[in-house]
Amino acid sequence: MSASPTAALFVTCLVDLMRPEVGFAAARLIERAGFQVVVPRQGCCGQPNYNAGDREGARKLARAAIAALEPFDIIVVPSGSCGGMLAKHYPELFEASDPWAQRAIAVAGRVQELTQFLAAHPLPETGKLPAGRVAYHDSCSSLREMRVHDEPRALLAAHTDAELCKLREAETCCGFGGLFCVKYPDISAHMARDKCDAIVESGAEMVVSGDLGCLLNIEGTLDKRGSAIRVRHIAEVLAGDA
Amino acid sequence: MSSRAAILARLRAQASAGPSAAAQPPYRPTPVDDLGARLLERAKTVLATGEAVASLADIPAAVARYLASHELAAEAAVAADLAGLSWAASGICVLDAPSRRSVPASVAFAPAAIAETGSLMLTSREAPWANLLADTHFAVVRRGDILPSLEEAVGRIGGNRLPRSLHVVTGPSRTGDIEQTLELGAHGAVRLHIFVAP
Amino acid sequence: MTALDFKGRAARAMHDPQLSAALLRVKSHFVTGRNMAAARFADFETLRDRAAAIRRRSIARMPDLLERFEASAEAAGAKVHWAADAAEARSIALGILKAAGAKTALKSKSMVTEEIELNAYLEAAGIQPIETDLGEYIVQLRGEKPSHIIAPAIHLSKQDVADTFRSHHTDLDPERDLSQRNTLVREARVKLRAAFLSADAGITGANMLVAETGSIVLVSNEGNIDLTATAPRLHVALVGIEKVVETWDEAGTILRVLARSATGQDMSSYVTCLTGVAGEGETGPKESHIILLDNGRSAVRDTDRREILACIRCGACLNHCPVYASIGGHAYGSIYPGPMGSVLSPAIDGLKAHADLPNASTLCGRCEEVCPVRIPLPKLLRHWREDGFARHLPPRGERVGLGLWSWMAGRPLAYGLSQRLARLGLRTLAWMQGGRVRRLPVVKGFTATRTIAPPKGGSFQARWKGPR
Ligand code: SF4
Repeated sequence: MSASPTAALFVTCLVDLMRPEVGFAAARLIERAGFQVVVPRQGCCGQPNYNAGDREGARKLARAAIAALEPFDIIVVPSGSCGGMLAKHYPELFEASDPWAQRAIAVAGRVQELTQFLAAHPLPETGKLPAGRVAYHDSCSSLREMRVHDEPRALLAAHTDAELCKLREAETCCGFGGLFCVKYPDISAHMARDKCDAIVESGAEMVVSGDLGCLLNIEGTLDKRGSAIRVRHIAEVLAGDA
Repeated sequence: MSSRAAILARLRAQASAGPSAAAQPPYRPTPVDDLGARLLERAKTVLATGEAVASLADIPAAVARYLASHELAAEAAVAADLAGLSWAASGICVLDAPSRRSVPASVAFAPAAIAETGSLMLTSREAPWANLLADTHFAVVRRGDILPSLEEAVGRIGGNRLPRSLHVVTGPSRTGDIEQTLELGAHGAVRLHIFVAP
Repeated sequence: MTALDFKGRAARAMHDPQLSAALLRVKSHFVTGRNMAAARFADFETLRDRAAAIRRRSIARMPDLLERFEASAEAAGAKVHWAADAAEARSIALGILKAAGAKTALKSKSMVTEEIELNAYLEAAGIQPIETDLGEYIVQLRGEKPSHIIAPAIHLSKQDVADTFRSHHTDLDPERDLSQRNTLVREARVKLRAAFLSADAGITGANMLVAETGSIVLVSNEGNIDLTATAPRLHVALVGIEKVVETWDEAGTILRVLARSATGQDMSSYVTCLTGVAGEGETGPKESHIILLDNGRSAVRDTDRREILACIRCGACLNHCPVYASIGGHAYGSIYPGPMGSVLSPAIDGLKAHADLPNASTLCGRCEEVCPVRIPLPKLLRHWREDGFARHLPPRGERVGLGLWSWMAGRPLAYGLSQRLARLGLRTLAWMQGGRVRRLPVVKGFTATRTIAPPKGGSFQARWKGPR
């Protein structure tokens, strides 16, 4: 056993299902930052149920996630959205009298979004990875629940040659919204169209974000338009997989 | 049960309506040395104009200059307490005070003004028509009547009884209702000029 | 024609290029204005904290403050009425107007009178309401409803306004030039000036009730409220019971955040404060009535959505909402649109009448970020969803799916199996559809405007072998 500290990686069910490569990239980055990565058996954090008004269902999933994550001092999540669920919503999920409430609060306090973690635990210097003209998309939950803004930009500047393009209405939602994009597909598509217009206008060759939901939405919309702009998770870019 | 009793009873029964937040300290703007200068400076940011005059006697000539420079007729309704100034000598034709009647221009005292926002405070005691029914409103405010904030102006004018209406006027009347584009003079004064008098 | 549902109205709105152009202006004008005004103020965040605390304190002390307001207002000569619902408010208002023999009533912009649909009711009773806010006047001539709580005619172009004036102001030269905005504003000014000087009554809403003096406070930019509340011999104000604050110091703080958040002004051009009736030698009505309206407000105060009562109707949450920016105000099918409307409307009309509204949001949180009184709108929307879920309002498929997910996604075996099946399904579809998923079954909407790259290899957890 090495003496390096341990960090738990909560990959999120969307990464697990759709883009395992994002999970592997995140794991490599955490290791390079000097941590031993542990991936506890995990399912979903419960956010879909929570946002659909199914508090009981969300609690069920949260109890499983809390039990899996509570042995760890550092919990890294490559998603502002699932990170926000764990860090901001878990503490409000249970009644104060419920014994799970304290456990939820304890877990919440140890959650870090991937770029927050990497900003606090710097990666060793390597050469600058090629990235080109990049538009960084802040996911709403990264920005407003996790308060992440400067971290991914600083990481891109430190480890890649990325030239950041100014994105019009950078703080506007891309229209993914979890179940929203299936329940209100027309409105979601309209918002995604506006976001992709802004991305195309920015002159970027690659869109980077920290949330897979936004990325699937943006990538799918750009592909449908026949755009060649690449769409990548920040973990992939920093790990040199982009 | 009357609706009054029912509503109040329901509200009172709601213990869950939460603990009361603490009372907040009143907001007061950072003090400034020259309230008159501050008033005029702020008024300009809201598209009013204004000037300090050395004495009330200077006002008729200043009004004449303003009207001429805007190519407006040399006429104005003048409030009774300013009627004694030498209007004719400045070539201003004095119209009747605008009591429920539209006039092209009016000159009247504002009983108070607010430096923080460049606002005038008009009241029902003097009739607010000088602003509301005139195209061009010349407001005369005495230095001693300029207060730092809205709250202090309400306190000064109110005394122990507030007038039926207070009208806090900040710049000319405006609207953005057509294509979000600013147009002046929707209902109240189209042009507002403030004289700060000793 | 059958009435469209929310989705139908939204779809129609998104296909209206003129509306899209108008909504772009909301973003560019209101959003920039608000941000600049906030930046100009030395410590806007602290001011917001105080405004938020003032409004919460007011809600907590509502019954006491309302009684104090009533006592002070009546001591100053106004008459205070209480209305449990829209019907009672309408009939009280009509009774007052009839008793005074009023035939015409000026109106200043008031969301509460829209909420209780006062205009149609008065017209049916033979009293002509005349909207005096330019935007409301235009919307009234067109027989429409406002599409924004502070900019009622935001959905219209200059040309729409010109056409409306030409067809309604038939006493004027039909050939006149109406191509300029300022000509339109002038024309409305002249038309309405005549009405101001002849109407029997003035009807307003109120932005605040100040309990200590029994005053009502209103804001406008046009000056129409001042004329409406001052020129006629009778004044009637219709106000939601949540609008009460205790002191003028509190009212001053609210006014400072209100104008900055609404239009980006440091102060609204006209702040009108009305106390009682005109005394000897004073200008103004000798008869003044204030109708306090409940209409669902006291009931929502008893739920976890009570913070919506803190709303000061600045409109910032609409202006910053990407859903509002996509579909505009009318699509909401409620007099209060946008995030605040999606929380308030179900409280007024019942959740069944507006079941879509709390759901039609990505919960992106931008509204909460700009709300001057820090109302956690996404959280309140979620509470409505919880209410709806408990009452089985979402479609059966959604409820069953969520139930299945919460059972499965916490059990490693079942979860692993579901992942395997989903991956297989996506890969098969992609294989059939030329490399990417182009048409999803069941949730067809997602792939109407998007494709999906199928996942490669096994799931992350299936392949993770521990640290290398
Ligand atoms: S909810 Fe907040 S932002 Fe929206 S209108 Fe009300 S006060 Fe303004």
